[in-house]
Amino acid sequence: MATIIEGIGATTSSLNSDRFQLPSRRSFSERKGRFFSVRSEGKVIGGSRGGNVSPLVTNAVATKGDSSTASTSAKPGHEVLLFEALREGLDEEMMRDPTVCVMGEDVGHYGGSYKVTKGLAEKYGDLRVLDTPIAENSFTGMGIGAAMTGLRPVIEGMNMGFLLLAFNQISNNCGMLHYTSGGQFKIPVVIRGPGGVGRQLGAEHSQRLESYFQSIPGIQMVACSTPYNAKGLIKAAIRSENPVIFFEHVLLYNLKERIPDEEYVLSLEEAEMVRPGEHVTILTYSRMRYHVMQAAKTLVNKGYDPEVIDIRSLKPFDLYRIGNSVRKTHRVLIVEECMRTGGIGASLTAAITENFHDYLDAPIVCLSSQDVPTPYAGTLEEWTVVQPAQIVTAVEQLCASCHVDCIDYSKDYTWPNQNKKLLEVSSCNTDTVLFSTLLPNMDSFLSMQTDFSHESLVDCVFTLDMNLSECEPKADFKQNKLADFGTVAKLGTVNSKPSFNLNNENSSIAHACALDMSL
Amino acid sequence: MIKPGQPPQCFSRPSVLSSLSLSNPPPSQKKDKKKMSSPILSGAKILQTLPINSNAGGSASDPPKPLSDPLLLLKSKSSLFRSSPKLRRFSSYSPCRSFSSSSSSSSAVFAVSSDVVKEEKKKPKLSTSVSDLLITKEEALELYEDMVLGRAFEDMCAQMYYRGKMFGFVHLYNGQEAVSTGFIKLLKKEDCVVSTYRDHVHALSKGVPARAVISELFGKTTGCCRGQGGSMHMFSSDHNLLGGFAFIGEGIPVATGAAFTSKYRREVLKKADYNSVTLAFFGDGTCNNGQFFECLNMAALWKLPIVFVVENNLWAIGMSHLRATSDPEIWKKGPAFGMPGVHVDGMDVLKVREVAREAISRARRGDGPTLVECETYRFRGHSLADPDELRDPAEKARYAARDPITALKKYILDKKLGTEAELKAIEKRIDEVVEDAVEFADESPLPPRSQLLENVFADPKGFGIGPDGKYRCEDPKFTEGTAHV
Repeated sequence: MATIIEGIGATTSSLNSDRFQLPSRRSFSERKGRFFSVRSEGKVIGGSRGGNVSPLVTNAVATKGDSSTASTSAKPGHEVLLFEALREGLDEEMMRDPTVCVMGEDVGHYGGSYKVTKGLAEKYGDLRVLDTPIAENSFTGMGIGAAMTGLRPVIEGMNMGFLLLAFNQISNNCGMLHYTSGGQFKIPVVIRGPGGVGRQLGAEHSQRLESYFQSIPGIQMVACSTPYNAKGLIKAAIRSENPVIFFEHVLLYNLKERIPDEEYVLSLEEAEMVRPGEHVTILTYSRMRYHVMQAAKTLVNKGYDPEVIDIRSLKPFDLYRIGNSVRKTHRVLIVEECMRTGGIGASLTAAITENFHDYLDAPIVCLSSQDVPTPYAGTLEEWTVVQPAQIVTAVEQLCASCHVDCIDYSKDYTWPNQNKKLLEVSSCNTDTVLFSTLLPNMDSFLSMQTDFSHESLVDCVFTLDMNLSECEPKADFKQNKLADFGTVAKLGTVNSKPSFNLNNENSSIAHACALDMSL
Repeated sequence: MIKPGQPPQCFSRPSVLSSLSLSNPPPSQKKDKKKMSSPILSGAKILQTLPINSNAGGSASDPPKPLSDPLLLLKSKSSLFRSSPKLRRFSSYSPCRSFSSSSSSSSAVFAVSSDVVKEEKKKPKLSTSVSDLLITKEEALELYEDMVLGRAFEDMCAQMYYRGKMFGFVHLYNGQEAVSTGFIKLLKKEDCVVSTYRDHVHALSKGVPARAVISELFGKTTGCCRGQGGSMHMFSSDHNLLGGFAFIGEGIPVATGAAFTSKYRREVLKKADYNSVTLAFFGDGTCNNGQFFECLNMAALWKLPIVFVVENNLWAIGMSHLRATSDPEIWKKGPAFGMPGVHVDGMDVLKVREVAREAISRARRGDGPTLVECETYRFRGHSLADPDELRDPAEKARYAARDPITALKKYILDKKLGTEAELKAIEKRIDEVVEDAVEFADESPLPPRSQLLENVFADPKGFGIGPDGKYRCEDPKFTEGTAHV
């Protein structure tokens, strides 16, 4: 709750008559840096999550290498490729807990078709790193049976698409057994594998299964995107008592990054702030993160300030970080590789609309892959997947709608906290302005509808007389209350100063709110 | 056109019988032909196992080397096999299905009498040696009690269903009790059982209290799965009952996994005295399903301590086994994967128990899996919603005459292992248990609303972080809300 007040307060600037240009350019220093506290369960040994800070810099992260962090050996940590980071995570967990085992096709002697399990069979033996025959449904079920009886298997699908054959076991047993057994058996499996569109792999090897699995109750889904979060998430997934489906991407295995030497475990349910911003929230995951960051570079040069969040947790969504971002920027763009129909973006759109509708200035835009089987031809394949240029265009369109900062100041009122914003214009388009207020007893104001004909507004001042004596700032005041107090008033003509008299019987305190905007 | 219930001509092998002929083929064999309704082999029951080199009956050509796997199991500890005087090698010359038997040609086949009780006089050596070895009075009464419990319980279920106390799909086990009792009563507590939707009696045999099972059926919160599973999902972690699965074949990989854990514990975690065995029960319809074959392969490959028990009751709802299966002899599918395949009369609890003992100890020793096909029959329809019009009444009558409970009762009385009074006392006791269970279930509470969201995740953090920054499960009103994430 305090966040909201702070957040709104952060946009306070003195009343000025400067034309408010959209999008406003705020320098990085002005940004009050709301880095939300990350609940990483305190598992970070050795303190800093330094390894993750560098990608937050406005430099877009390129698809290969991370030149800004490549550095001298004086830097802490070690450089790894993503598949090595996964292997490190697996290795550490297997060393720590002897019931952790791996099973899948070619994970043992072959070392894994993407080399994730290379060397593990030599180290831990053929039973702990089990080469299975090609029977996905059955070995996934076997992993589930093993989990029920005390082991913690990591089941690898050579390609996520192959797990379609294991859908029976994943849906019926993995997701449901804990519930139908009344909590008697837990299924701490991790089902992992590479998915996503690769380089001309053809339709069946380029599937995105997150959309198919997302409705299964009882499972969690995460998608890793960097070596840092790959290692942290795989460790968290293995330690989790819930079944976790761990999505990797075929094209990301060779990403290089410097990760800490110390052990660290990330939280499975949290999203990752990649780049804080002000104008638009871009939600993404897995490979599309890199397309987004590439587009972000272009956008920054054009004067936009996108906030990029890698949602990481595909099920459940981290509505806290997403919500904070939406409340800040009021515009949402979802960029994903999933199909349009019934994909992760579709669910995310629904969740955001349901929870944060009043904070949105514009409808949520969701960029997903085309609903086509991925073609083999390179050009066609490129067009099925969202490209950075499309992201730039979408942001531009999204930000073209009007946005207003409401600056308030009060002259005569004795509100304890003078800088507390009491009224906010949270959205507007050419016709209406939505006011919302933080005060709890503004019912009469709310029910009021005033008719103004509207042209454009400059320096419009509204004076509100209201009884504030009973208003105490409530400690648990939540941003949700904002949504309760919206009302729609049509804007008056330029320089008009209407005033509202709400409660005349009690002495009223005048409170003024100035709108400074241009259309 | 083969009528259901009728043995198709091509599967009866009169010539096989004669070649196998036990030198004094019991006259009742012929009589029994009409009684023995196995459409597969209208005559001797074939007990197949892998070559025992010291086989007394070794004849004709030595079979070719067995497939892969050790298969040298049976050091013939069981006198059953050795004492049978009528051993014959079943060579690759086989009048029908020779191509399929080429893989089984490496196995020896034994003919065993179908009905211990009836055949007793005809095959004195075999049956008396079997029965004298197998059963003490305590064991006999224990088996009897377990079968009677199964039967009484299922009958009560039917009653309760028609009175509207339970709903949905309820699949009853009447007639098949010998399989459950014969196998599960040999298990230790840490051994695991995996079943299908026809799992009430497996649960009871494994030790789940009748109260817990019937409460589960009534959907009460005191049920073994808190009312969340129902008839088809009986689980008990205390008794190592791993379910209760609604889709056929779904439980077999889970059973394979449990067996894998056993092997893992022994070999990786170095718990040398850990040797639990898993039993997977499933039906004839499942034997045409991919998961069955995939798991046979994996279990044999890694020599997992598992026994695959096929309850072949000849019908998959309305689909006769013969109409669905290219080679209806399921036991043959075992050797194809390198494990012994055994066929046994599933209406005779003593026979089943004997085979079970061998298979379970084989698994416990670490010699790998066994496929046991129990020929059995369900007296009722597939489920309580099944009108059961398709099966031939004559077939039903034939099997009803082989009711395992009556057979055991007769056996106990004949062998003087117990008196009529003792058996009656057992039946009475069971009736009381079942009635008490129903009463208990009736009085148990229904699950409250707050139970809805519990148990979805083992770690409820899986419901995620809500817009207020806290984990949803930390909200005390969480269980009154919705589960969407």
